[in-house]
Amino acid sequence: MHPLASQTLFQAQVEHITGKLASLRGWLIHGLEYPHVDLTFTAERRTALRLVANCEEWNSEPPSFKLLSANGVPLKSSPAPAEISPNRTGVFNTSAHPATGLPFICSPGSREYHTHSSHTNDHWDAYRNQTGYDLGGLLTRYWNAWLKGTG
Amino acid sequence: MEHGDELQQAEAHLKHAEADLEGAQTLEHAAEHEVEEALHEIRDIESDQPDAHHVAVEVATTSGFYPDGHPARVPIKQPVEVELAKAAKALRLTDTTGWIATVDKRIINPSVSYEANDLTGCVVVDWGPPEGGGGV
Repeated sequence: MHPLASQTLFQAQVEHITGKLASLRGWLIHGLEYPHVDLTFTAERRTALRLVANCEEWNSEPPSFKLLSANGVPLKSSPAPAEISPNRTGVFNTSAHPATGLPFICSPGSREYHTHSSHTNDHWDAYRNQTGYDLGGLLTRYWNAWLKGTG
Repeated sequence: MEHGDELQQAEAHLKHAEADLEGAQTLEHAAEHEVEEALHEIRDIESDQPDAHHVAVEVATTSGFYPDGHPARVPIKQPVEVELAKAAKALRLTDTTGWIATVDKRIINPSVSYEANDLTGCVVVDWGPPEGGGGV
Protein backbone atom coordinates (compact mmCIF):
# COMPACT_ATOMS: atom_id res chain seq x y z
CA MET A 1 0.00 0.00 0.00
CA HIS A 2 1.20 3.50 -0.76
CA PRO A 3 2.62 5.11 2.41
CA LEU A 4 0.25 8.08 2.15
CA ALA A 5 -2.79 5.84 1.80
CA SER A 6 -1.54 3.75 4.71
CA GLN A 7 -1.07 6.85 6.87
CA THR A 8 -4.51 8.21 5.95
CA LEU A 9 -6.20 4.95 6.87
CA PHE A 10 -4.17 4.75 10.09
CA GLN A 11 -5.19 8.25 11.13
CA ALA A 12 -8.86 7.66 10.33
CA GLN A 13 -8.85 4.53 12.49
CA VAL A 14 -6.97 5.87 15.52
CA GLU A 15 -9.04 9.07 15.52
CA HIS A 16 -11.63 7.50 17.81
CA ILE A 17 -9.12 6.03 20.27
CA THR A 18 -9.71 9.04 22.47
CA GLY A 19 -8.91 9.92 26.05
CA LYS A 20 -12.55 9.20 26.93
CA LEU A 21 -12.36 5.66 25.55
CA ALA A 22 -8.91 5.09 27.06
CA SER A 23 -10.16 6.21 30.47
CA LEU A 24 -13.14 3.88 30.25
CA ARG A 25 -10.94 0.89 29.39
CA GLY A 26 -7.90 1.62 31.53
CA TRP A 27 -5.64 2.25 28.55
CA LEU A 28 -2.74 4.65 28.82
CA ILE A 29 -2.01 6.20 25.44
CA HIS A 30 1.67 7.02 24.89
CA GLY A 31 1.47 7.75 21.19
CA LEU A 32 -0.75 7.38 18.14
CA GLU A 33 1.57 8.85 15.54
CA TYR A 34 1.88 6.98 12.25
CA PRO A 35 3.18 4.32 11.97
CA HIS A 36 3.11 3.51 15.69
CA VAL A 37 0.39 2.78 18.21
CA ASP A 38 1.91 2.84 21.68
CA LEU A 39 -0.32 2.17 24.66
CA THR A 40 -0.53 0.30 27.97
CA PHE A 41 -3.35 -1.90 29.21
CA THR A 42 -4.00 -1.45 32.92
CA ALA A 43 -6.53 -2.95 35.31
CA GLU A 44 -6.86 -3.51 39.02
CA ARG A 45 -4.83 -6.45 40.32
CA ARG A 46 -3.20 -6.96 36.91
CA THR A 47 0.35 -6.52 35.72
CA ALA A 48 0.15 -3.77 33.12
CA LEU A 49 1.09 -4.67 29.54
CA ARG A 50 2.47 -2.15 27.05
CA LEU A 51 1.98 -2.74 23.33
CA VAL A 52 3.82 -0.99 20.54
CA ALA A 53 2.38 -1.71 17.11
CA ASN A 54 4.37 -0.91 14.00
CA CYS A 55 1.71 -0.23 11.36
CA GLU A 56 3.88 0.38 8.31
CA GLU A 57 2.04 -0.86 5.22
CA TRP A 58 -1.28 -0.87 7.07
CA ASN A 59 -3.55 -2.47 6.08
CA SER A 60 -2.02 -4.48 3.25
CA GLU A 61 0.09 -5.99 6.05
CA PRO A 62 -0.97 -6.52 9.66
CA PRO A 63 0.83 -4.59 12.41
CA SER A 64 3.90 -6.01 14.11
CA PHE A 65 3.37 -5.94 17.88
CA LYS A 66 6.08 -5.59 20.50
CA LEU A 67 5.14 -6.67 24.02
CA LEU A 68 6.69 -4.57 26.77
CA SER A 69 6.53 -4.13 30.51
CA ALA A 70 4.85 -0.97 31.80
CA ASN A 71 8.24 0.75 31.95
CA GLY A 72 9.01 -0.06 28.31
CA VAL A 73 11.30 -3.08 28.65
CA PRO A 74 10.66 -5.81 26.03
CA LEU A 75 9.23 -9.00 27.53
CA LYS A 76 11.48 -12.06 27.46
CA SER A 77 10.43 -15.66 26.90
CA SER A 78 11.90 -17.07 30.09
CA PRO A 79 10.81 -16.87 32.79
CA ALA A 80 7.24 -16.44 31.54
CA PRO A 81 6.40 -12.74 31.94
CA ALA A 82 3.72 -11.87 34.50
CA GLU A 83 2.22 -9.40 31.99
CA ILE A 84 0.98 -12.25 29.79
CA SER A 85 0.80 -15.17 32.21
CA PRO A 86 -1.14 -17.32 32.70
CA ASN A 87 -2.22 -17.30 29.08
CA ARG A 88 -5.75 -18.67 29.25
CA THR A 89 -6.82 -17.58 25.79
CA GLY A 90 -3.74 -18.62 23.81
CA VAL A 91 -3.58 -15.13 22.29
CA PHE A 92 -0.25 -14.35 23.94
CA ASN A 93 2.57 -16.76 23.28
CA THR A 94 5.47 -16.70 25.72
CA SER A 95 7.77 -18.80 23.55
CA ALA A 96 10.30 -17.19 21.25
CA HIS A 97 8.97 -16.21 17.82
CA PRO A 98 11.24 -17.60 15.06
CA ALA A 99 11.78 -14.14 13.56
CA THR A 100 12.13 -12.00 16.69
CA GLY A 101 13.13 -14.43 19.42
CA LEU A 102 10.58 -12.73 21.68
CA PRO A 103 7.09 -13.48 23.06
CA PHE A 104 4.40 -12.48 20.62
CA ILE A 105 0.70 -12.11 19.90
CA CYS A 106 -0.42 -15.38 18.39
CA SER A 107 -3.79 -14.36 16.99
CA PRO A 108 -5.07 -13.15 13.61
CA GLY A 109 -4.18 -9.52 12.97
CA SER A 110 -0.67 -9.73 14.36
CA ARG A 111 2.17 -9.88 11.83
CA GLU A 112 3.94 -12.35 14.11
CA TYR A 113 0.95 -14.69 13.90
CA HIS A 114 0.64 -14.60 10.12
CA THR A 115 4.39 -15.07 9.59
CA HIS A 116 4.66 -17.96 12.05
CA SER A 117 5.23 -21.30 10.32
CA SER A 118 2.10 -22.71 12.00
CA HIS A 119 -0.15 -20.07 10.45
CA THR A 120 1.26 -19.16 7.07
CA ASN A 121 -1.87 -20.65 5.48
CA ASP A 122 -4.11 -18.33 7.52
CA HIS A 123 -3.73 -15.24 5.37
CA TRP A 124 -4.24 -11.69 6.63
CA ASP A 125 -6.16 -10.96 3.42
CA ALA A 126 -9.02 -13.06 4.80
CA TYR A 127 -9.40 -10.64 7.73
CA ARG A 128 -8.17 -7.22 6.72
CA ASN A 129 -11.46 -5.77 5.49
CA GLN A 130 -13.69 -7.32 8.13
CA THR A 131 -15.34 -5.22 10.81
CA GLY A 132 -13.41 -5.72 14.03
CA TYR A 133 -10.05 -6.11 12.31
CA ASP A 134 -9.31 -2.43 12.00
CA LEU A 135 -6.70 -1.03 14.40
CA GLY A 136 -9.24 -0.34 17.14
CA GLY A 137 -10.75 -3.77 16.67
CA LEU A 138 -7.38 -5.52 16.97
CA LEU A 139 -6.51 -3.57 20.10
CA THR A 140 -9.92 -4.43 21.56
CA ARG A 141 -9.43 -8.13 20.82
CA TYR A 142 -6.01 -8.24 22.44
CA TRP A 143 -7.24 -6.15 25.39
CA ASN A 144 -10.13 -8.58 25.95
CA ALA A 145 -7.64 -11.46 25.82
CA TRP A 146 -5.37 -9.69 28.30
CA LEU A 147 -8.29 -9.02 30.65
CA LYS A 148 -9.20 -12.69 30.64
CA GLY A 149 -5.90 -14.32 30.86
CA THR A 150 -3.18 -12.46 32.63
CA GLY A 151 -1.82 -12.25 36.11
CA MET B 1 -43.62 80.49 27.05
CA GLU B 2 -45.60 80.57 23.83
CA HIS B 3 -48.02 77.75 23.05
CA GLY B 4 -45.91 76.89 19.97
CA ASP B 5 -42.80 76.39 22.09
CA GLU B 6 -44.69 74.23 24.58
CA LEU B 7 -46.00 72.09 21.79
CA GLN B 8 -42.51 71.59 20.32
CA GLN B 9 -41.14 70.72 23.73
CA ALA B 10 -43.94 68.24 24.38
CA GLU B 11 -43.36 66.64 20.97
CA ALA B 12 -39.63 66.31 21.74
CA HIS B 13 -40.46 64.66 25.09
CA LEU B 14 -42.85 62.31 23.33
CA LYS B 15 -40.18 61.29 20.80
CA HIS B 16 -37.71 60.75 23.60
CA ALA B 17 -40.20 58.64 25.51
CA GLU B 18 -40.98 56.63 22.39
CA ALA B 19 -37.27 55.99 21.85
CA ASP B 20 -36.93 54.91 25.49
CA LEU B 21 -39.92 52.59 25.09
CA GLU B 22 -38.47 51.08 21.92
CA GLY B 23 -35.16 50.45 23.68
CA ALA B 24 -36.91 48.87 26.65
CA GLN B 25 -38.94 46.64 24.33
CA THR B 26 -35.75 45.49 22.58
CA LEU B 27 -34.19 44.65 25.95
CA GLU B 28 -37.37 42.86 26.99
CA HIS B 29 -37.35 40.76 23.82
CA ALA B 30 -33.67 39.92 24.34
CA ALA B 31 -34.36 38.91 27.95
CA GLU B 32 -37.33 36.76 26.89
CA HIS B 33 -35.12 35.09 24.27
CA GLU B 34 -32.46 34.35 26.88
CA VAL B 35 -35.05 32.90 29.26
CA GLU B 36 -36.43 30.75 26.44
CA GLU B 37 -32.93 29.48 25.58
CA ALA B 38 -32.18 28.72 29.23
CA LEU B 39 -35.46 26.79 29.57
CA HIS B 40 -34.62 24.89 26.38
CA GLU B 41 -31.19 23.97 27.76
CA ILE B 42 -32.74 22.84 31.04
CA ARG B 43 -35.26 20.68 29.16
CA ASP B 44 -32.42 19.19 27.07
CA ILE B 45 -30.39 18.36 30.16
CA GLU B 46 -33.40 16.94 31.99
CA SER B 47 -34.29 14.81 28.97
CA ASP B 48 -30.89 13.03 29.24
CA GLN B 49 -31.22 12.36 32.95
CA PRO B 50 -31.96 8.88 34.24
CA ASP B 51 -34.81 8.19 36.63
CA ALA B 52 -36.59 5.17 38.06
CA HIS B 53 -37.91 4.24 34.62
CA HIS B 54 -35.06 5.39 32.38
CA VAL B 55 -31.31 5.00 32.01
CA ALA B 56 -28.87 7.40 30.33
CA VAL B 57 -26.95 5.29 27.83
CA GLU B 58 -23.79 5.73 25.78
CA VAL B 59 -22.25 3.04 23.58
CA ALA B 60 -18.44 3.13 23.43
CA THR B 61 -16.52 1.60 20.53
CA THR B 62 -13.18 2.21 18.84
CA SER B 63 -15.17 3.71 15.97
CA GLY B 64 -16.65 6.36 18.23
CA PHE B 65 -19.30 6.90 20.88
CA TYR B 66 -23.04 6.71 20.26
CA PRO B 67 -24.82 9.07 20.62
CA ASP B 68 -22.10 11.62 19.97
CA GLY B 69 -21.79 14.16 22.75
CA HIS B 70 -24.56 13.19 25.15
CA PRO B 71 -26.21 10.03 26.46
CA ALA B 72 -29.57 8.80 25.22
CA ARG B 73 -32.44 8.52 27.69
CA VAL B 74 -34.06 5.13 27.15
CA PRO B 75 -36.60 3.01 29.03
CA ILE B 76 -35.00 0.76 31.64
CA LYS B 77 -37.07 -2.17 30.34
CA GLN B 78 -35.78 -1.78 26.76
CA PRO B 79 -33.36 -4.49 25.57
CA VAL B 80 -29.76 -3.22 25.39
CA GLU B 81 -29.49 -4.48 21.82
CA VAL B 82 -31.82 -1.71 20.61
CA GLU B 83 -29.20 0.96 21.36
CA LEU B 84 -26.42 -1.29 20.05
CA ALA B 85 -28.25 -1.62 16.72
CA LYS B 86 -28.57 2.18 16.53
CA ALA B 87 -24.87 2.53 17.35
CA ALA B 88 -23.92 0.01 14.65
CA LYS B 89 -25.90 1.96 12.07
CA ALA B 90 -24.60 5.37 13.13
CA LEU B 91 -20.98 4.24 13.37
CA ARG B 92 -21.19 2.14 10.18
CA LEU B 93 -20.27 -1.13 11.84
CA THR B 94 -21.23 -3.61 9.17
CA ASP B 95 -20.73 -6.90 11.03
CA THR B 96 -20.88 -7.06 14.80
CA THR B 97 -21.54 -10.78 15.04
CA GLY B 98 -20.02 -12.15 18.22
CA TRP B 99 -19.16 -8.75 19.70
CA ILE B 100 -19.29 -8.51 23.46
CA ALA B 101 -20.90 -5.77 25.52
CA THR B 102 -19.49 -4.89 28.92
CA VAL B 103 -20.34 -2.33 31.58
CA ASP B 104 -17.60 -1.57 34.09
CA LYS B 105 -15.77 -4.60 32.61
CA ARG B 106 -18.72 -6.89 33.42
CA ILE B 107 -20.10 -8.77 30.42
CA ILE B 108 -23.80 -8.11 29.98
CA ASN B 109 -26.52 -9.78 27.93
CA PRO B 110 -27.66 -7.37 25.19
CA SER B 111 -30.79 -9.37 24.39
CA VAL B 112 -32.38 -8.45 27.73
CA SER B 113 -33.18 -5.12 29.34
CA TYR B 114 -30.99 -2.78 31.36
CA GLU B 115 -33.08 -3.72 34.39
CA ALA B 116 -32.50 -7.42 33.80
CA ASN B 117 -28.77 -6.69 33.48
CA ASP B 118 -28.95 -4.89 36.85
CA LEU B 119 -28.08 -1.55 35.24
CA THR B 120 -29.45 1.78 36.45
CA GLY B 121 -28.54 5.47 36.17
CA CYS B 122 -25.80 6.43 33.71
CA VAL B 123 -24.64 3.44 31.69
CA VAL B 124 -21.68 3.27 29.30
CA VAL B 125 -21.78 0.08 27.26
CA ASP B 126 -18.32 -0.83 25.98
CA TRP B 127 -18.87 -2.81 22.80
CA GLY B 128 -16.31 -4.56 20.64
CA PRO B 129 -14.98 -7.79 19.21
CA PRO B 130 -14.00 -10.64 21.54
CA GLU B 131 -10.44 -11.85 21.94
CA GLY B 132 -10.60 -14.26 19.02
CA GLY B 133 -8.56 -17.38 18.65
CA GLY B 134 -4.93 -17.98 19.28
CA GLY B 135 -2.29 -20.55 19.93
CA VAL B 136 0.48 -22.16 17.97
